[in-house]
Amino acid sequence: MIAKTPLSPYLPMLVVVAAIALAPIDRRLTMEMLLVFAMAQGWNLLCGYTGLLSFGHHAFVGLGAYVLYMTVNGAGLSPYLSLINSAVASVFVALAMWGLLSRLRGAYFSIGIWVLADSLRLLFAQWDWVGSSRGIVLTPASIDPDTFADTVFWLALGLAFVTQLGIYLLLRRRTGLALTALRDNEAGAASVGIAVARNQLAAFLISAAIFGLAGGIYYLSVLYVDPTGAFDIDWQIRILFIVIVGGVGTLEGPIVGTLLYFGLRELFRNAGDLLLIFQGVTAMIVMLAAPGGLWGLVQAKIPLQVFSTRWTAG
Amino acid sequence: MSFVEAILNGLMVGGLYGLFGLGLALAFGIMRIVNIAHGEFVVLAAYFGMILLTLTPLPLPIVVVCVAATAFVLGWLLQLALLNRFLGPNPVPSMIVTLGLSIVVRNLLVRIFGANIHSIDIGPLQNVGFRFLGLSIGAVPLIIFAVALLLFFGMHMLLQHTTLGRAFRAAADDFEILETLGFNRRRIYNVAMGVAVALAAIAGLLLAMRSSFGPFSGVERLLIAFEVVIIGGLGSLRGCFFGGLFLGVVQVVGLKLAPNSGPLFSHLAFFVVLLLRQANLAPLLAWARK
Repeated sequence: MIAKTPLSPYLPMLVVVAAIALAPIDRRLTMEMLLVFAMAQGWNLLCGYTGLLSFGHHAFVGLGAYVLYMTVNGAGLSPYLSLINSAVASVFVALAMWGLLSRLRGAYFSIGIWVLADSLRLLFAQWDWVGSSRGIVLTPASIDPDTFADTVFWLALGLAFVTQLGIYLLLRRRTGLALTALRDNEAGAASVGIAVARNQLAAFLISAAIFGLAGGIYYLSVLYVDPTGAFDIDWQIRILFIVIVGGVGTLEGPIVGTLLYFGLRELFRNAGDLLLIFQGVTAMIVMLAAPGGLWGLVQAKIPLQVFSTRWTAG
Repeated sequence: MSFVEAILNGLMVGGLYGLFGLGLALAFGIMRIVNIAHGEFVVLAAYFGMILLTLTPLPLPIVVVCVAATAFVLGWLLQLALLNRFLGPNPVPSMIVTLGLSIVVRNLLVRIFGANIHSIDIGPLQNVGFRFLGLSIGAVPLIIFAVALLLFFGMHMLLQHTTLGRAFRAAADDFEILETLGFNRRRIYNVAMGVAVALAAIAGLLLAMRSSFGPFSGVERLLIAFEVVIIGGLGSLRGCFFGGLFLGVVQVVGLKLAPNSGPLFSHLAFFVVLLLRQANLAPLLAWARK
């Protein structure tokens, strides 16, 4: 049975979504925040709950983007509908990756998938049909320039909302109990009959779909993609920073982390690569001083859980 | 450059790749630490060597020794000050810490030296070579290969015939027994990380004499080191050596076929090896024998 909390998370969630939708904010920046947040939550499901540390999820950002461009430019489909292709392709590639990496566990998985992401970058840079290393421009017939920016924003908001709600509901089910057990003790979870590999695969596919969609939406909004940018390891570093510093293995952590990251980015706007140096140092300090992240520090003081996924006996 | 020359060059670069892998394998085998900043240390050594060669009149061999000694101290300090806090069965915290370190080093290099690509000029020695059976072989690649061989042999002697080497192997097998014998495992770890980083640094400096490097080369070096470890098998000096040679040949021949492909061919070769390992080849071999 799920532990009761004084506050249902649905109302605050609706308030936040309504505020984002209605407030006169910079929609371009907000869109990027929402996409990065969705990815962080997906990566958190994989790393925080099933213990699979991936350093190669930027592969799916690039894949989602390129699949979108290939179907729109090649087959003339509507760019919004083509996002489905981004998700489906990411899931299929993730399945193939899983087969290839099935012997690599732990640290080997982390770097093995990084090699895969790097291979995809190099392959797309060699592929003339998609512009090789010069990249390609999106040439859609069906984009209405008046509504385009808003549509992309709504798509990002939808993805972030569905991701948060979906993972929350998933974790409240029996699957969630299995995933939480996995997070706390993999061997223990296996010993009471939890199918470790199956749960890990499920989380891996879900996270791949989210990254593919987010990559598709992001590069739809910029109308241009090149392999160096789309398969940039900085995507992965950003997500990792957000989840680790926010609080890995909690649903609140990525929210805190996303706000912190974009706050820092605005702060360091004119400082160039100082932001990256600061990110690296902060990640190291957090691992040393507070491995639970910022949300872990909050929870140590007050046992607050906005998204209650904790089970009690009975 | 003919194919035979490409293969010879690949073998010589491959000796260095083997050293990259050896450093990574030492740290993982002994401390269970995957040092994500391994590639950054490789690049750092190249920058340090470049500075020493341009600012001081020191001859090349002395510079190599200086870089190796500095790298040893760096690795030793890294383990002492940072990584010894993250010992245990879970490799994730130390990986995130070393990833953080790699980001810091990479971007500091960009800030100090810029994002440009550099190379180390070793003067007239670069053009010395000889012809053998119609193939032209440079003296520098040969010397580099000899140094790599020598370092592998040295590591073999260290691991097999010294107390420190036995302590390394014991720490990899069972650190609790090692501690009951009166060894301090943290001290052994410090030395092991020093050796691991020094190996990477020597290889990095030598590689910089053959091919250019920049602040972003570290990732490629790390991924190659990782591939060498997986192909060669953890805890095997010979495996690392031959894994490195294999990847070196694949990469140089691959670059001859497609000049802009970077490490793509070594990545693909790595996945082919992974697939072959997973495939159950026994029935196929039995069928072939009939």
